[in-house]
Formats: sequence, C-alpha cells, structure tokens
Amino acid sequence: MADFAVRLFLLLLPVALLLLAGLRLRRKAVFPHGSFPSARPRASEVLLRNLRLRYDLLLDVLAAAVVALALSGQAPAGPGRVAVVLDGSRSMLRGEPGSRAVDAAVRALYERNDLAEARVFLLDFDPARGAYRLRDFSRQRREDDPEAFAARIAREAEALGADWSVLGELRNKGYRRIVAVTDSLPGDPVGFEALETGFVEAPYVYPVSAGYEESTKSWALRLAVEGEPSGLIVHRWEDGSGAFVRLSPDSLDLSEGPYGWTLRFPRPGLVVVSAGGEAFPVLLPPRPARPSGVGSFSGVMASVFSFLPEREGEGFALLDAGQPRRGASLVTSPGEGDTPLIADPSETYGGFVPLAVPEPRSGGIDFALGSGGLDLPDLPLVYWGRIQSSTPPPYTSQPGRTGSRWKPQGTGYWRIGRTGPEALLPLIAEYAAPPRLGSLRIPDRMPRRWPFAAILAAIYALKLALRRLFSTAPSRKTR
Amino acid sequence: MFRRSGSSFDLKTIREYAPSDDPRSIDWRLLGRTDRTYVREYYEEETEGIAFLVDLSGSLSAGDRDSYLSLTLSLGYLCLELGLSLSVHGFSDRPDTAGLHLRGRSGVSELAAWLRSSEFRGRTDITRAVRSLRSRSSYRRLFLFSDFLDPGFEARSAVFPSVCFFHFRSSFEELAEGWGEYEVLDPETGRTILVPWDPASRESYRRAEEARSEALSHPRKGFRYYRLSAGEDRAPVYWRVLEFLYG
Repeated sequence: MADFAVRLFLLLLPVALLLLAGLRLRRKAVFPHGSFPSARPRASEVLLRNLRLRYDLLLDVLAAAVVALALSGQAPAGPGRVAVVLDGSRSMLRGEPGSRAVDAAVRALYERNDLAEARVFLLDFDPARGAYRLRDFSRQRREDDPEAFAARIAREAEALGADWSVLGELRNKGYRRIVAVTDSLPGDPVGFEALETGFVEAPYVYPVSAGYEESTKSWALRLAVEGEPSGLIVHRWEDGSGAFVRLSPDSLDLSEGPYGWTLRFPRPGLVVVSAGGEAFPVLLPPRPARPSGVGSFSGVMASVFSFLPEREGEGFALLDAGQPRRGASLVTSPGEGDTPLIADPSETYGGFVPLAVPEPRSGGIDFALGSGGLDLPDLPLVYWGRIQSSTPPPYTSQPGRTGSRWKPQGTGYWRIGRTGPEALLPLIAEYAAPPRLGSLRIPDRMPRRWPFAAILAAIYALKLALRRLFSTAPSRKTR
Repeated sequence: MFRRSGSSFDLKTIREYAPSDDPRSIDWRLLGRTDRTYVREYYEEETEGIAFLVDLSGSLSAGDRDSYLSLTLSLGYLCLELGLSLSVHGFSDRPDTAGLHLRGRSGVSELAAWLRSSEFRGRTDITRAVRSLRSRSSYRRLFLFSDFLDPGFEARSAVFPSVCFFHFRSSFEELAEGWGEYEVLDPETGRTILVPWDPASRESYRRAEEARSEALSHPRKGFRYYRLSAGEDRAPVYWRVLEFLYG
C-alpha cells in the first residue's frame, strides 16, 4: 500500500504541476460579455466546459493511478486484512465425521480469537474449470457453529488436492496476513502462516499402476492397500449404454500380495473401484499397437516389438534421423563415437545408455545414441518406455494439464476426453502423510499486465475521442 | 465632390435654365428683367440631413477605439463634404440630448474634436437612444454606429424611415492568445467571468456573432447594414454609403 501511495504521489506530481500552472497562468482580458453566447451557463454546461478543459488532466490522473498500480504490482491493500484459507483437499475429509481433519481445522479456526474477523476462504478444486480455486465462506463461518460449518465444508468442498500457489491471489488482493488451516503441509510455510491439525490416518486403497500384462494376457490394476478395507465393488464404463455397469463379484479376478491387491480384467476401459467406502475411477489403458520402423536401425528396433498387436492407423513410429516425422514418434540418430553423456536413467529403467552429441545440422533428433549403446541388451527398454508413454495414463493428479469439465466420481473425477475416457485422482499424499521437505513459499505471482495495458489503452482512446469531439466542431466562415 | 440641391428657402445659386430643369424653378422676375431664363437653386431642407447616433458605451473601449472613431469621423466627413447637415448624438445607457449640429467643411473639425473628447462608459441602450433621437429630430435618415451588444435591442425598433447600421465589431478571437481559460472583465458591468476558450467555444462564439449579424442585416425595407472590424478595408463601405445616399 505504501509502495502504491509513493508511486502514485510521484506520478501525480507532474499532473498537479500542470494543473497549478494552468490555474496560475490563467489569462486575463477585457471584453464585453455580450459577445459570448452564454455568460451564465447552466450547471450541465459548466460541467461540460470543465470536462472540456480538464479532461486531459482527469485522464492523466486516472492513467497515473493505473500505472502506479501496475508498478506496485498489487491492488491497494487495506491495513490489517487477514485471510484464513481452509484446506479442502481429500485428506481433510477422510475418516468419520467428528474425527476428520476438517473437524479439527474448523475447531481450531473458531478457537482463535485473532482470526475471528478474518475472511475465510475454502481452497478446493473446480471441476468445471479443472483448476484449484478459493471460495469465500466468511458469511457461512459467521452464521454456522463449528459442527455445522465443518459439515458444510465436507458437503460443499470439491476435494482433490491443495495447490497452495493460489494463495498468491490473496496477496495480490491486499491481504497482509494469510493463515492456512490444514492437516499437514508438505513443507515449512514461507510468506504465510500455517495452522496444522495433524494428518488423520485412515484405511485406503490407491491405484499404483494399470496396464496390459503380457504374462497373463490381461489388464492388471495394482492397488496399494493400507488397513483392511472391505467391500470391493467394481463398475465398468460401457460406451454402448453410456453408463457404469457393476461387474459381478464372481467375475472379479483379485489376487493379494504383500504390497496390496491386483485386479485383472479381460479388456481395457474405464473402471470405478470401490473399497472401504471410497470409490475412484481409473483407466485400464489399451495395449500399445505395434510400432513401425523406418530406417535401418529403427526398423530393426521396431521388429523387437512384433509381439504387440497390429492396429491400422495406430502405433508409435520409430524413425532414423533424416526421416520425415509423423504423429507420435521417436527419432534416433545412431551415433558412432562415445561421449561422456548418458541418457536419463529414469527413462532407461536404470540402465546406463551412452549418448552421442547430435550433429548441429541434424535437427529434430530425440535420441542421439552412442556406439556403446548398441551393445546394451536392455536398450529396447528405452524404446518400450517411449511406446508405453504413447498410451493414455491410468489417471492423472495434475488438473492444470488435463483440461476442464470433470465429473465427480467417488474421491476422483472422470470425463470423456478427445482420446477416450480419462481419470483424475488426488495425489497419494492425500492418503499417506507426506514427508516434510524444504519450504512452501507463496509464489511471487507475476502481476497480470494485460488488464493495466487494456485500461491504459482505454484511457488514451477516450482521450483521443474527447480531443476529437471537443476540437472538431463544424467550422463556419465569418463574414 | 458635389452638393445636392434641395427645396429649402436657403438660396444656393442662380444659373441659366437647362432643359432638364424643373420649369417651376424658373425665376420669372429675372426673366422679365433680363429676357434670359434663369433658375434658382436652394439648399436641401433640414429633413434631408443625417442623424449620427454614436455608441459611447463601455463595451467599445475594449476594442480598437481609434479605428471606431475614425470610421465615424470619415463617414461624417463624407456627408459634410456632400453638403449634408449632420446631427451627431452620443449615447450609452442614456442618450445625449444636446448633440452636435454640423454643416459644411468646418463641421469636420468640430466632429473630430467631439469624438476625441468622448468617453466610453456606461451600458448600451440603443432602443432608448433611437427613440429619444427620433422624438427630437426632424431628420429622416439615421446612421447608427455601435457594436450592437445590447440584448434588448431589436433592429425593427429603429423607427427612422431610413437607417444605416454600422456594426463595429471587435473579435475575441483576435484578443485571445491560444486556448485556455480567460478571466474576462466586462467593461460595462465590471463583472468578471471565466471563459473557457477552446475550438468548441470558438465555434459557439462565431455562431453567436453570425446570429447577431443576421438579426441586424435584414430587419425591414430602408435598412442598410455594414459590418466592419478594425483594420478592415473601408472603401467598399464608403461606396455603398454613397449608393445609399444617391442610389
């Protein structure tokens, strides 16, 4: 606020000087008033006259205020404004009513006298936009008792995860003090306060992986299980009927292991798994199509994956350098010399794959393979990883990258996207207490410049329009 | 220059009869005595003179006074040279009842002295001045010199049979130095107003000027209207005045 005031003051100085100079240098003349069309104008005419003479200064003042706002990067803030942000993520709502994290958070909020006058926002997910949002619940907080307010939050929150970066919006709106009320933060808060009530442990079932299993010729959905969830129910999305159809319990192929459960399905598609009172959607992605290979090296590499089904119009393309790229593809430049470079181990299943330096003129190469890489027996795994990544993921936990118009389904969301069904689930950190690593900082949000630019443009357009209006009255020749 | 002969009893000259002369003007006695035909010419009667009504209100002090006075003097000179008698009266909010009665060339210097000694003050009341003059003067023709900044004046109320309006105009456009606000003091009322002077105001001002000129220029038959500004060529006005007098 002080920054804004200082900048506004400095920007208004020349405007004020112009105004004072204009008043000081007002010229004097002796002339009969009868010559002027209206020596005693009406109030509206006075207003128009003043506007005619002062519109420049008036618009300059406006422009100065807008520039000051833009320079200070924030809206003018009221001193002492406090915002409380209530975490509306999945972890807050898990457990039995009364013992959930949200109940503890609301109780803590009502007990803090210093937060009694603060505005209360709920941080939750907006399925329609596919983004996190802040909703003002200040009025409801004043009207409800703690139990009713906690029940309202549990009922109305669209729970997914928590994107704390949206707190920057509150900072831009002028809130000096921001208090996040949550169960557990993944890092130490910087730039805001945190009121943590502790992570509530509860049984859960969470999908770990889903895909075609060559050994069993079926689609395997592996689930991490904590506690002893009961009542396994599975629904499958049927494109024909456009509805979820419950699978018979007898038809479920469930096997238990030390890490959890594995469910096997005879065909891919979107399924909804319910266990322990919670349900979530997950996609069994289709088996990758057989890749095509163009070029001597890529042709050989593609033949490694001949066990994959051949589907017309589908399939990953493996290309040698210099071949025209088409669709989803991987362009390899089989190198001749070795270099100290190696491929990202996360993409090579932990193997050390020597890389070559791509030739400067051979643009568009994804993979410059060193000569030593050709001897690696696990080299096809690199290509297998790329082929697998060309199929849709079982689910995503990052709504910002996936689009909008999600439909809630249990603890997750789903929709029919361009490539077929898609699933959106909370991060595993909403089920198992996340480790506290580093710090969590409200990002210094890049102030939006286009609104200021648009306002300035509008002001100057108005200036030009008024100048034209007041300067180009129809001329008449005097005799 | 020439003098126009009239029908008063003031003898001007006796000359030989010409075919174009009115036979009623033949001096029969002289014909009897000399056996030659002579005619008598008389000066024009007083009703053929011109009443000069000169605005001396404060508003005219704002413009080029010398130009205004020299215009009045030059037209007075013109009339006196033509042998017309003048009855000159100044006015502002009250008419000058005494006036100045002039004839012949000697009248020019008197008129110049009178104009030089005139003071411009008071408000403009043209109607009152014209009516007052009409009630006292036998002249049928009126030359009215003014800036016509009298909102109550209507041109039709100038009740002389033949009237010439000499509208001496000072322009605020020439006075103003660029756009901006002007504190304008009215020399008649002493009031000060704030005048925003910008292109739109100038247009309004011009329109008001045009409207005022329009109202003065065609009130009725027998009226003439001449608008002049300081520094403007007056020759066309002189010629048109001559046309008015002898046309």
